[in-house]
Amino acid sequence: MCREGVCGACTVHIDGQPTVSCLVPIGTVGDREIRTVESLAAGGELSPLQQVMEEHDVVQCGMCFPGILMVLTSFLHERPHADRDEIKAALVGNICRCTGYERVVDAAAALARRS
Amino acid sequence: MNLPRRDARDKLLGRTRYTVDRALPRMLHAAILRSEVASARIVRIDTADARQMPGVRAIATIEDAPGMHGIGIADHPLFSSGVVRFHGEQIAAVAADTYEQAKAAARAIEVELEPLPAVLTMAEALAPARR
Repeated sequence: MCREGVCGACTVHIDGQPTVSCLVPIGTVGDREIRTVESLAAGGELSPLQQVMEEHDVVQCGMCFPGILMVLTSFLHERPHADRDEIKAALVGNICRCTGYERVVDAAAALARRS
Repeated sequence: MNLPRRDARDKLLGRTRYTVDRALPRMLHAAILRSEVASARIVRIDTADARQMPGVRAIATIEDAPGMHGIGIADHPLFSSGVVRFHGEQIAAVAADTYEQAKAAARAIEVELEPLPAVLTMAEALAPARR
């Protein structure tokens, strides 16, 4: 991760809002709720987004993926029927060196079509 | 052929531990001093002050790692060798007790550079009398 808020890999939800955690000093968080990628698989079951990513064999090295999952989880919650262009726009803050993004978008679009 | 990655699930769950996630007792941390210019002759590298700084265990430069290296073809040195060939080329490496100490020591390494013209296009690189 870049440690300067550019790559998006460190994205978490702070009070439900996707935020680059590398730019948030922990002392400023106070009582706000922080959710990380580990929270997505409630009760040991992959979330629908995690499942579709597994089905489409999207993950490669995995470094960017927590950030991508947190951004898409929030985005698809707000825009469950998003199209490819909207999904690409939502991912503008997440840099991936491995996948070339297309499979990420394919999988997210497949999930959006299913909803 | 369908060969799904066997490590994908752990990566999706956030369980995968990368080397940066691992910390062992007494392990050292590294910082690299990188060139801020694209092309230069290295006049002098002075690590004397840096070596005295807190926590510093070792500093390496081209003298410590001579020769050419590479995967498949050994075509580049591990550190800048006599000249800097690209912006960001590694000039020295520091190993210290903490990452902050390593970074501070890297900043304390004195490097004197004499700027050289940068070769930025393929045509320039192919022109006669270029390195």
